[in-house]
Amino acid sequence: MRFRAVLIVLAVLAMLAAACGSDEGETTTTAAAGGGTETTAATETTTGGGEEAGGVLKVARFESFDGWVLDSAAAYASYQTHLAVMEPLLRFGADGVSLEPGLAKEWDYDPDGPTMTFVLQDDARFSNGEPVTAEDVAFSLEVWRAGPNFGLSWDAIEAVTGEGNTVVIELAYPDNTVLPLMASSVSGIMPKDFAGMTEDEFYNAPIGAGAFTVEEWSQGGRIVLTPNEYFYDAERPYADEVVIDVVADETERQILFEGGEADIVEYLSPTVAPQYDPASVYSCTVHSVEHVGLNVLRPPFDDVAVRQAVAYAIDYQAISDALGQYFDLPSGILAPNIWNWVPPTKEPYRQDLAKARDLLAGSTAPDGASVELIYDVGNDLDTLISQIIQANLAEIGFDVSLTSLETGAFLDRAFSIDADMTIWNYGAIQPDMGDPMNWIIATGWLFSGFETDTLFEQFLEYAGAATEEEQEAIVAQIQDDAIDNAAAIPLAEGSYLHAVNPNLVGFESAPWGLYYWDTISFGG
Amino acid sequence: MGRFGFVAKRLVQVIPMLFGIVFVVFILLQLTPGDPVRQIVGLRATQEQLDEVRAELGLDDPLLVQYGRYVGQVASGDLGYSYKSRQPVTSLIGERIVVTAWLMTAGVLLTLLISVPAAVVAATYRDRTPDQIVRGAGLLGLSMPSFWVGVMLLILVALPTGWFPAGGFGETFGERLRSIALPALTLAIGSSPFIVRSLRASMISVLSSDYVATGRALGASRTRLIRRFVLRNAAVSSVTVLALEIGFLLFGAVVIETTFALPGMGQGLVLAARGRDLPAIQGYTLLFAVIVVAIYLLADVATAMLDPRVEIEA
Repeated sequence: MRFRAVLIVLAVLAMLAAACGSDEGETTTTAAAGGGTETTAATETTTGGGEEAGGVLKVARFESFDGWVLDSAAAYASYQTHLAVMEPLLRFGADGVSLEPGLAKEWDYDPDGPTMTFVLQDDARFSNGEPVTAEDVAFSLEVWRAGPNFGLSWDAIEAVTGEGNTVVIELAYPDNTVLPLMASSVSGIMPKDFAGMTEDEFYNAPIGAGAFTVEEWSQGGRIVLTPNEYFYDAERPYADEVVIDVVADETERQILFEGGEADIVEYLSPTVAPQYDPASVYSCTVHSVEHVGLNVLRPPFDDVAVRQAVAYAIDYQAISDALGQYFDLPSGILAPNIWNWVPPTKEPYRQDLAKARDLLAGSTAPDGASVELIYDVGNDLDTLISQIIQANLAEIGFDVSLTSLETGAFLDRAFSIDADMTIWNYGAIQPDMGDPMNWIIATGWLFSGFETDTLFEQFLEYAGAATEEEQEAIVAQIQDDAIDNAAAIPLAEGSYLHAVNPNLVGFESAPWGLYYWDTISFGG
Repeated sequence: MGRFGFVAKRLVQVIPMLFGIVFVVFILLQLTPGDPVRQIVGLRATQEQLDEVRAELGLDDPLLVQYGRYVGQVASGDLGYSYKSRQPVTSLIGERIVVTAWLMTAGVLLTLLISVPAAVVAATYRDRTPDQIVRGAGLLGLSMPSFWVGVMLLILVALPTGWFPAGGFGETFGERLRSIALPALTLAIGSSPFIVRSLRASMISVLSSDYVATGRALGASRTRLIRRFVLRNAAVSSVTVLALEIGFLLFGAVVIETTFALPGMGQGLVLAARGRDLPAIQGYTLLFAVIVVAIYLLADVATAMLDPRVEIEA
């Protein structure tokens, strides 16, 4: 009897499954956590360009979300999400060098004041309906200041005042780096006193003035964003919902995309991108820099001649070829195609084994040495690069042992300047050279242990420079210094890649891969 | 005490076992390279700021002090807060346990649905063609890694037919059933061969017993004999194998959930490990351990119910 009952239950389940499967074409379960959301446009509003407003924008990514604390986020996935909910005063342009209106519709930087003046969007409101005021900006600034990562970036700010929808930020001294930082995700505007919540409560249910509000979120799971009904632009966002899923497996992300269950796959690996339909691969302007840091704190790389010999031994063309069509030869240690970037005035390193051997002969390690090279095993590009470097350095007598590490362990050793050689890559998060400079300082000159006092001085000079020409001269000097000291050697520079449903309209990404969801709509 | 007296004793024994599991996980995580504080505070923070947060979280306390503090929290039902998201670990787990429960339930059901008929066929047609086919299929199932089976099912079934989503977990019952079908099948393909082998061997043994011969002589039909006598008696040893198998399935879920982008506990554990989120890792591991212990206990209870002669010692 019981056996028969089990059979009946199983038969019913099978029929249910079959019944559910028969309505395909009307409803599609969304990526990575499903959702039962519809891929068809829910509303019929036209956005102006023939495209349809509405629909669910589905995003698949490999990085976990770090949570809503703006300062401590380390993943691009987090920056992207923060921008959608906690809108900063400014936005960055897709060209990587321009600033665009955000929560502020107009702005002005007066270095003589020195002051920054922002005119807020008419009727700018948080998702709880409260208007955005200068007090909210002042409060946000105090939160930013307290951050261990970017807190010092706001040192120049002395006071925030305001009247009506005008916010005036007074600076203690001219600082060119503050304005572009206002377009980064760390500068999201929060309601004063966390809208009456405790800090923890706020970061669990954040309120911002961005295009979207948080419907559902968890650190490694699904994030669902819905339009902020009080958003300053009545037309945007075009999508009814943004559903973001963390999909750890690369193959699965591709399957979801090809199955139409993901509209955007963020940050494709260049080694995987060729497997996608070329029409769906969005290549950002070249920006990312692959680099290797040589530990200057101990032999053999405490000798600049040894470091330069290594720099001449590396086959940059082979690295660029191995990384594929989206990579090219490196032009400098600073990430290109952002505000005030200029190339070095000196010739960048290119492989010259004779020169490498000459330099080595006159160095403290004429016969080479045994060294350890560490890299993040989660980055397939770094695996390729490390093997090429191992082969290149063998030609000048170096025995390079490769150590692949899980990301957490890698970061631990990299920041401890614990290995002889460290491979990684980086890009900026906002459109100004101040950001790469800041990052290079924070990484102990990209994990080499090279002194950063000089660079810090150059950063201060850059921040206070009166003209763009002066700023560019400082950038060129830093690029040249990097060639001279060869502590961190750029290996290749390339583009960040996204897979984007060709039917999407309005997708534009900055060189560092970040983009805005509220400007995207589905093709008509 | 009765036949089921072992349950209470076993429950008491579980407590020190769980302490041990927590201790081992705790120590292993301490030995694993990688500074969780760096991941909490951010990559641009200075050493002084890192040290400050380390002190705030008590991560610079001696290991035993940290362990004692954690055990105290767990005893009061508090698994702590995720370092990264600041969410309670219990709520992180709560969001994901439903998905894993669906996967496990569907996986076990499909395993039984495949393996019981297959074992019956193999045992009753011992050494003949159907038996060879079942054994060959079992060998094939065992030799294919589950992540590969999963990807093949996605490419060969989900994408061309559109009957099943390529990943994720639905909202409605029907969507969930469809979302879970291929992951459950992947689990079942890997686990069925064990049950088939065990059940087949037991059934062959039971089929040759005197009481089955007597049943046949008394005119009992083949179906009735197998259902009422052979399967029930043969199932006793297979229940233990199934319990062990569920333990493995639970850890197999880590791979399957990643392959099918299912936001379950397995995926949660992987992401927590990637982010060095110690409270979350400990929470997931502890729950996995509790589930495995509970399943083994249930298996013992089931064994005792199936065979009145069985006396299980605690």
